[in-house]
Amino acid sequence: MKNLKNVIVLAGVLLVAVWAMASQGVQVGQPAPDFTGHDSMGQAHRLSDYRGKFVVLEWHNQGCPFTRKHYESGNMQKLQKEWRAKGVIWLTVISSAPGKQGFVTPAQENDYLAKMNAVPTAALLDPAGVIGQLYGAKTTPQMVVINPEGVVIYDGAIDDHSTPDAADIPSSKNYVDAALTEALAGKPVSDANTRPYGCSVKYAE
Amino acid sequence: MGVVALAVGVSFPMGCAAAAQGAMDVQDATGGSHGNVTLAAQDQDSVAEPGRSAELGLHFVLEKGWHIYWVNPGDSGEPPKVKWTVPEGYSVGEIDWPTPERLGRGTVVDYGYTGEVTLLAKLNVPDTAKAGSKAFAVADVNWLVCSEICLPEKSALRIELPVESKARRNPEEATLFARARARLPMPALKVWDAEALDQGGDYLLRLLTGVQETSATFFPLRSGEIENSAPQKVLKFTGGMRITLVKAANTTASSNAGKPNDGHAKGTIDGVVKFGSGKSYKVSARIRSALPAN
Repeated sequence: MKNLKNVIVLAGVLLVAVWAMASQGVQVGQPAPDFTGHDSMGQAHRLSDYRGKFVVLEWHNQGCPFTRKHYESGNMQKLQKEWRAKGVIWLTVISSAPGKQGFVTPAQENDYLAKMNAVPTAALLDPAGVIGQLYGAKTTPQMVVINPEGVVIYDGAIDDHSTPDAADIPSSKNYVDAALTEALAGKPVSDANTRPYGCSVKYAE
Repeated sequence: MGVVALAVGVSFPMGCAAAAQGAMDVQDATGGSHGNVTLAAQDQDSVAEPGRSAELGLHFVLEKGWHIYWVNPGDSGEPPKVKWTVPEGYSVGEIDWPTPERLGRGTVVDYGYTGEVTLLAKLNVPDTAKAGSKAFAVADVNWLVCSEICLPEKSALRIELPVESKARRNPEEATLFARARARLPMPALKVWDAEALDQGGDYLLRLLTGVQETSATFFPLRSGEIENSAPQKVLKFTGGMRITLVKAANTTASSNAGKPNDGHAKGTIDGVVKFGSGKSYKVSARIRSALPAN
């Protein structure tokens, strides 16, 4: 009986431990975990190679209505263009597993980038969800901003209107834009952590 | 249409510009692609009793495998949003959210509903409402329905309700409303002591019900306080329930979706506890440090 109880307690502890390993996540103010990802052109990108620059990570699923809100309106592309012109590295990350919504082959992603006039520095294909799980990415879009020292300075939603409706964009506060504006001016980020909104990231089961 | 025979209004797939018409004509709800919603009133024939409130219900029927979201959707998704239009002097209260289910798996866990669910709200009728006049309620509903993928839906629903001095209950809707009310979390009993012991990495939520609870699930009302996907461990406790809730990675309380997680202003962990018996209660547990004071 005692043994059975111990087994149950142990199972509970293991369950929590397994969960903790699977969901690492990032914390604002802590170093951004390093990773290497391959983009749709076949190029490898190591996060730590971008030390000295601001880096934006954008979780992406081209079929998700919330992602479509920001791409079909041109909102995401505008941000990419504006901040890349100021030296910011922009990495779009696609963590959809094969067979799931948002999964793309390199060629499909390149077609999409061209069609949407999207201009990230690179679109990283993460079908095993390694980068997504490392960052605890929950939704598309979900946005992370990393400073030149490699510290996470923003994690959360793209803006404060959690709808799939592009009509809400003009009246929204864009948290990524605000975080980069403040950080590039040497100021602390006012809203450093928000609840990301959107579709769930379509990880492998 | 079955049980919602008296629900009025018709739902339109997103992008359809038509406005809801049709006063009292009873129509089938033409759905969005993966579920539909109808608007019902408990006192259909004569809801608007001056000075009283009348219950309205947004009844969702969802396709198998699809779900909609609770007021706190969890890690992804969005709850249905309703914009009410009512005559001057009338008002509609907040939605009473039924106890949700835990949805999803792995590292993304959501709170929501599958199958059928009715969201109840009260239509407040002014004292000045005249018997013989007509009240109405229009609900512009936007909701997200998800399975593997998510689709935004919207619908404009209208119901007309003649004002009479004494409301007549609509027997055909009684079942729907009774069922909806049975799914609402009950207020926690005053004598139950609710406390969330802050243990550093997690909260130990303790509820003194006097009866040992062997299984329970906690649904946090606010996002950003606990890690939705973390297993909730129920600990053996003769006086009631003890359950561990892992704190969110960026451990700050937040209010609404997409809003900043702006610090632990509340001092309580609020939510709904559902016991193995199926009964659920609203709980507000004050946070207390488990570390010894010095």
